[in-house]
Amino acid sequence: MSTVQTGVAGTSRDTASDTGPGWRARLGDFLTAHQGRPPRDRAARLQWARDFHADLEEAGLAAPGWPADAGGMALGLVDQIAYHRLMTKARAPKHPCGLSFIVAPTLIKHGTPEQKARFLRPLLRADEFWCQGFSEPGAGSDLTALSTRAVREGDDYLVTGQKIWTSMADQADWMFALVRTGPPEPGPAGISYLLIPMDAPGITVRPLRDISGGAHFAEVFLDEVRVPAANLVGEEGGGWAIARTSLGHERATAFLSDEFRYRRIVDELFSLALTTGEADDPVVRQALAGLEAAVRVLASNSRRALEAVLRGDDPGAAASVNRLVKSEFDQRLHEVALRVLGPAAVLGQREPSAPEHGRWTYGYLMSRSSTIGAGTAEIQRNTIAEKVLGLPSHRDDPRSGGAR
Amino acid sequence: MSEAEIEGELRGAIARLLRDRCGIETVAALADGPDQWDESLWRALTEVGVPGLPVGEEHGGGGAGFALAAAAQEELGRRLAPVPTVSLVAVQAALMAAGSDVAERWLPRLTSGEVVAAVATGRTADGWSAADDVRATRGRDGWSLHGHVPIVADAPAAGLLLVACVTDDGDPGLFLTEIDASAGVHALEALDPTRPLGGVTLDGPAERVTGPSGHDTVLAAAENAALVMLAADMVGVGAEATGLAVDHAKTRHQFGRAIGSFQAISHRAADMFVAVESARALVAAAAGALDEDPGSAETRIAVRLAAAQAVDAAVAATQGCVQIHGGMGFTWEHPAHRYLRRAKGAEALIAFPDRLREQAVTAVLHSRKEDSHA
Repeated sequence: MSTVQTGVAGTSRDTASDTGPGWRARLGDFLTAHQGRPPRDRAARLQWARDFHADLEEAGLAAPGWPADAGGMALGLVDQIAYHRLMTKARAPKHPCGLSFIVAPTLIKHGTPEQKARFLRPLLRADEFWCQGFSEPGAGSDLTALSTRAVREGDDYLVTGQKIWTSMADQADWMFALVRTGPPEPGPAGISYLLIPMDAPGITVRPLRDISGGAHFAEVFLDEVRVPAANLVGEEGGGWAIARTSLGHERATAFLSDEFRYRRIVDELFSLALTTGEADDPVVRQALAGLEAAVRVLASNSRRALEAVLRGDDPGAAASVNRLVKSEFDQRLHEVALRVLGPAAVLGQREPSAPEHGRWTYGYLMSRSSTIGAGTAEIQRNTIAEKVLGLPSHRDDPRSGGAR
Repeated sequence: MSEAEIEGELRGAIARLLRDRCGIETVAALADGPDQWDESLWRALTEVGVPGLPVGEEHGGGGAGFALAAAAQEELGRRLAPVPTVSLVAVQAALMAAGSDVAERWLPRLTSGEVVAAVATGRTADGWSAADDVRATRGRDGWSLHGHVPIVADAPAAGLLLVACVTDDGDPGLFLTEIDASAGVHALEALDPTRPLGGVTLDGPAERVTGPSGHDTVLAAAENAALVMLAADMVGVGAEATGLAVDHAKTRHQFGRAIGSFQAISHRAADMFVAVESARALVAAAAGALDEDPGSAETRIAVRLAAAQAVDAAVAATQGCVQIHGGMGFTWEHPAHRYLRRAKGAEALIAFPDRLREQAVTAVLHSRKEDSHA
């Protein structure tokens, strides 16, 4: 065997040759020109982020992974990673509406030329915000049970029903929604993908107070909301298949930013443990070591998923594992944090004397959702069991081979 | 070829060899028979260069680093191969770190597979230490060792022993001494018969590997390498146990359906898989760290977290494998207990997972304190 360079877990290697003519220099100049601290005031901060992304789009430096005809930079994966690193390093403001990047791939792949021309640019510029209308009171883990009806009437649909767990509903200009255009029976057939203007008559947004006492989500009530049929994306009844469209490497790159964030939070928790003195407790130390291991698993798995993508392989298993590890890690992290707080863990998050402005208590409460939202931990285990391990489905679905 | 392709080829070659030479029946026959290890399998692995993987070409090795040695060990673990690679690589790592004349002289013989080496140390909460009941004495003809080490992994397969002990002067010392399975090594009945254990009585000449100044570094190199190799072994064991459990859950029917369709089973299988995959990620990172920066505090942390995770994952997976097989998993005939034994034996072999985590977190907190003082 010949000598080889080792370091399976080393830095990413530029096996794919990405060439973006001069984009690095242009982005560098742009970021230098846009340096500055975020305003303290919340509304001013939002406007600051919107302005940044409008300028970014103007400069042709938005959407590194999107195709050029959608207004993106069409960079290869290696360049995309470099792009995200540069943005993170410069502390550039995040796009103020992350949900926009869930609807965008569906529009890019399945939208009409008119829809793309109408929606993509304002979306990138953060001129328009989007919210997601998928979940319903009767359709959570089993989203295909959704019952919001869209009845065709001339050139319009009349939409009636209720959406829930809708974040940004109060700020969004548009909702990308899954609605039932077919027969009322539950199932993926007859579900359509519709773009609903949030200022349309018949829409009521009611804030949903959550476990932390805050309102991060809303319920959206739709009562005979008139939506132009031109806002249908894809075929009528073909909404289910296009709802989770992603662009190329998104699944692999999505983990990158989380990875940096979790690394930072674990470091902060270690500091907290030293401050409170709980770092001397052997049981706490075991828990801290477990977190240190988990944050490394996340980093290592994302890297392996990326390497798989760079090789042209499917990162599926590593990605599925990371999703579950991440959601349970987030929860465990905050459970340990409350232990590390010591006696101060009895304080509520708004108590002025609570350590670090109550962030750990608030984080603990919010982390209860990490094993519920975007696929419960149970559903994620089903996915790993069925899609990765090939075990038969638990549902009595004759196609799955579960029953005999 | 890319790194991934090289690793893939290496894994494939070893897997093919093991499929022919190390089936579960072969392992079971050996484990239940009088032989302590599979010498003929060892010769076959030697022919494809397995014993020399982590050693540099200047010592006759493959120069593949710990990353590929760990990948190979995962394949060996998967097949419960009764061969002494974990111990051998630990000694190789020590000798590479020592770089002394003694080390240079022995390395090629270990690399070629001609001589199998094992490690005899004591053990504290902080890791390997001087063996309690061994003394090194300097005489006119050089050093000699005297005493007894109650449990030495792979000793029945070894011709050479790396011994950590205290010298007459009270200094910590590391020595190489030749041993012979027919004299001085008392084979022990092991929980895991695929990793032979021996009690070793020492009373003969030895060569000093390193002086007191290099002692800690060299012993740490051996311990790190042993932990990474054992961890890789555990990833293989855990992966195979998970695979066996999943296969069984697909075919075994109760209440009119495959038991793998019950979420109590499928979720446990998913957890086994996630734990093993997580361990594999940490082991790859730790092996890479050993190649890139063997003496650093960061490597020490990475190695310990990987080993703790891997051992825990393997124990959980092999216990889960027994459970999912139901009554069959409890029988001697079914191989489930052989995987369980390998995992449970490994858990106690070098350091218990909680001790490894404690060592890791101590190093992490220490670096945080230094950061805050900087």
